[in-house]
Amino acid sequence: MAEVYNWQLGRNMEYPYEEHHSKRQFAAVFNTNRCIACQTCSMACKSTWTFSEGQEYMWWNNVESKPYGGYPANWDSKILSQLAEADPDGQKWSEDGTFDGKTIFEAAPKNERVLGYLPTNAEWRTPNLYEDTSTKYKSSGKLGLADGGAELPAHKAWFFYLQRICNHCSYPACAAACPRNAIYKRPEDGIVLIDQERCRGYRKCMEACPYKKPMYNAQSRVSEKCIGCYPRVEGSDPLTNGHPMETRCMTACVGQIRLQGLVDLNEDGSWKEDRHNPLYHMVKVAKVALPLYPQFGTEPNIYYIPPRWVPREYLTQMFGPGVEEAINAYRAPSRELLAVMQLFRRSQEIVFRYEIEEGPKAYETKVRGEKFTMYNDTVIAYRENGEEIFRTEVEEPVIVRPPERSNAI
Amino acid sequence: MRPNTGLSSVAGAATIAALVGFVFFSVSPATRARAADNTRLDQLEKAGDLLRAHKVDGVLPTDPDDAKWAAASEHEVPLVSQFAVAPSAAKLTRSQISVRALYNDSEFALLVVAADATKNDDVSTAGHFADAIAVGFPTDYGEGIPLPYIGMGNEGRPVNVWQWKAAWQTDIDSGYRGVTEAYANRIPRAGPINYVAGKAAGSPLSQTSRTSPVENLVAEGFGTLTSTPSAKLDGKGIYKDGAWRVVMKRPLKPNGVGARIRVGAGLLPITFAVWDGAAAERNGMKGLTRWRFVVFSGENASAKQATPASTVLAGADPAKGKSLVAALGCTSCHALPGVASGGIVGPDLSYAGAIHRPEYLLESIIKPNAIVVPAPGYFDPTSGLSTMPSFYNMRADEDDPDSPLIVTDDDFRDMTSYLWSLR
Amino acid sequence: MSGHDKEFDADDPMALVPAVMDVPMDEASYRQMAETFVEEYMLLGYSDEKIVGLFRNPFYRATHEILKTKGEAYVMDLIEEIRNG
Repeated sequence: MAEVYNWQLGRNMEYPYEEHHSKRQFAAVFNTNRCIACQTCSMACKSTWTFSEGQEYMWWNNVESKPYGGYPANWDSKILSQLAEADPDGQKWSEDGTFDGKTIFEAAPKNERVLGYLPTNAEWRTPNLYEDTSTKYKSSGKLGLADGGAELPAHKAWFFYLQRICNHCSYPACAAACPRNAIYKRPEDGIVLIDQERCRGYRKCMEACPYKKPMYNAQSRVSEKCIGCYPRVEGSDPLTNGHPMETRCMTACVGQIRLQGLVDLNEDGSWKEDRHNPLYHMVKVAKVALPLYPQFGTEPNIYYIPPRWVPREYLTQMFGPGVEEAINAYRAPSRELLAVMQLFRRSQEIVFRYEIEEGPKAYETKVRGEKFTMYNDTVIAYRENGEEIFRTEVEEPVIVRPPERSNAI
Repeated sequence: MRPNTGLSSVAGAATIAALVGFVFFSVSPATRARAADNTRLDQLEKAGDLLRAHKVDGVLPTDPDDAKWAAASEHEVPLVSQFAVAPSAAKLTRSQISVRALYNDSEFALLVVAADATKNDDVSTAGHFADAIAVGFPTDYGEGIPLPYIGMGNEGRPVNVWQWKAAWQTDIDSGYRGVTEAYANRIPRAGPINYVAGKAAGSPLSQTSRTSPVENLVAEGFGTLTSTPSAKLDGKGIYKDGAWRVVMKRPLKPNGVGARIRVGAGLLPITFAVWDGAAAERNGMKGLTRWRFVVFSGENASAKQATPASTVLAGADPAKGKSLVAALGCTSCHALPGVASGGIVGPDLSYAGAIHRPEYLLESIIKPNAIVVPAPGYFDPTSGLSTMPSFYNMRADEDDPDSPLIVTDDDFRDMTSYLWSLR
Repeated sequence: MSGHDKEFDADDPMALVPAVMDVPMDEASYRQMAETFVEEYMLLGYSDEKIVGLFRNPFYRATHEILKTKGEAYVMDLIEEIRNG
């Protein structure tokens, strides 16, 4: 095992291969606070990439209801239990934000390169078990209609939606586990791909990926995974007109919760200071977005704004020690962060840089005893070559339905 | 020549001298060479390292039940789980296969019988793995050509693998089993099958029409296994009475990339692997044997390229070797039987003798860089060299060439005989 | 027996039967969830009166559920706390 530096853990860790980094890294921010689980992202992905024979069960993009849902079922609690078993009482973060526990590479049994498990067939079948459907009812009628009308269950406890795609990790567990060297990370954008010609369907990647995103195709008998819509990200898809474009799942987002881009990396894998890249601002400056289960050790590159109504203990387990800071940054956003958040889903193109033009005060209010002022600033998005993609204002009109139309669709 | 200290066996001296690059001449008259060959063959046979191929007239059988197989002698070959390099089995299992070999002037055929409680030929869901049996040969062999590393060969010493697959056998017997066939009740879709990435990329696994259940592969180290067509590599497997009976046969010439089998040009090195689909075995998770040798009956083949264990290890003391292995700290990196917390840095040596030949074991402790196992952690990626230290030619006082060697040549052979005993 | 009469089988992954998750909810977590709703509306510049209206309106299911479960006093206290800290 080689020693590599994982900035999300604040320390070196073991990895089967020497440290190498791509020039740029595919990354995204998902705002869990805004997701409505409409699954438009899931369908956008499916209708683009996984509509063929052998891909029936595949959801390269899925949205699951936490804490109970999961695709495959219980993926996260399973790997968390395996880690807890390998390192009893040791899976902890220290005060300074360093992870003191074991990663999936460090906790690997000696006959494996990575700690993991192969999900059962049944676990793949229910992309979001226990998601809202009408409650069980008895019917006396032939049509099977409920006698007293169907009713949705009321959520009496907290829950939230977790949107998941391949994390295009800096230290991919799939690549680490592949005995074929069939999985590679692209030097130009860090997208992780399975070479369809070299793969021999061993499913070691399925076993090793803690996020369970590589999937076996029973028609082709080799494994596949999210390809980060690389023709769009490259700008080589005819639709893009040569300008790097965000993936299908990102651009289809109805709730406008997703923003994807490319971040420039230093040779040591750290993010190059890029003050006006929206991803850099949110992850490194505002620190409002956090990696998913950073303790697994793969350095995932999808960053989440944590749902702020969820118990902190649960969130800390899921997003690491930065949760409180991220929630504080989100609940009382700085003037700049507020403007950056407006960049989500105004265009399909990747925003490489933004500028803010200050606008007039929109309103002033008081929250938790402190004054909060809204300014109607204008944020301008630029593409890679410096051309403007769009500009948008912070203030949006709010329209409230009149009472007599409250339940109208 | 540097004097060897305390060598007890001339043959041992020859082996070590050859390994470390000294020229060692042992000029023998031709008549004595024949006798020496016969002695070698006897010793190899005694150690279970020899498989006899019998010559038959006419076309070699593809059917495992063909009467011609009665002409071949049956050899029992033990297997142990591949344990040296991850990914490997979590628990050791031992098994045994029986092997028969036939040849004629143009073809070579093997019949392998492997007990298997369950027939696993279905790979139509993510949780299913299929049975498979493989045979491996060096692509080039003969006197003076060292054997490839047992695990998929090594750089410069490639191996040719023929892998018979239960799933492919079923493809041939009853048609390709894709999702349409596997899930009879799925909603039928209009039109032809959509784009299938693996097939479009040319993966041999994804091809829906096959002519042979045996795949031809070459490898030059871990992760390098590559499928390559070999015309007329054929075979057939039948599952009956709790066992697979599998024939693999090919013309002596590879008709593509692969080992050229030369009858009359010496012993043919051979190895076997078996995967049990029920235990989710695939890739390095398999049962494995060490290199053995095929001798072609009726040929006056030179047996020089195979060194029997009894020659390499003549007079060596495994008990002394065991205490040396402990004293030299080998167990801090290697797992060995009876050591509570064996190291996990280097390969697990618990069954070293089952998968390695003694000359390889001796070579690897004298010259760790002779074959660098290209698995993560086993070598320094910067230098490309093995992380294992060598005690060869190290003296108690490094500035004094007359001070005693820390490990003598006899010590190396004692340690090898201990490792060889681990089977 | 038709499908909709089938008894709930927790182990049947193909059954499209919902399960009402009886997750025990501690008081602090419940409060945290309720606070988030209120805070969100306040950041939009809403007045206290407008926010109370969203709790009273049954078509705002989440907020209304809180009012139904905890009562009006709980909601008023909540708004007061988030407004003035």
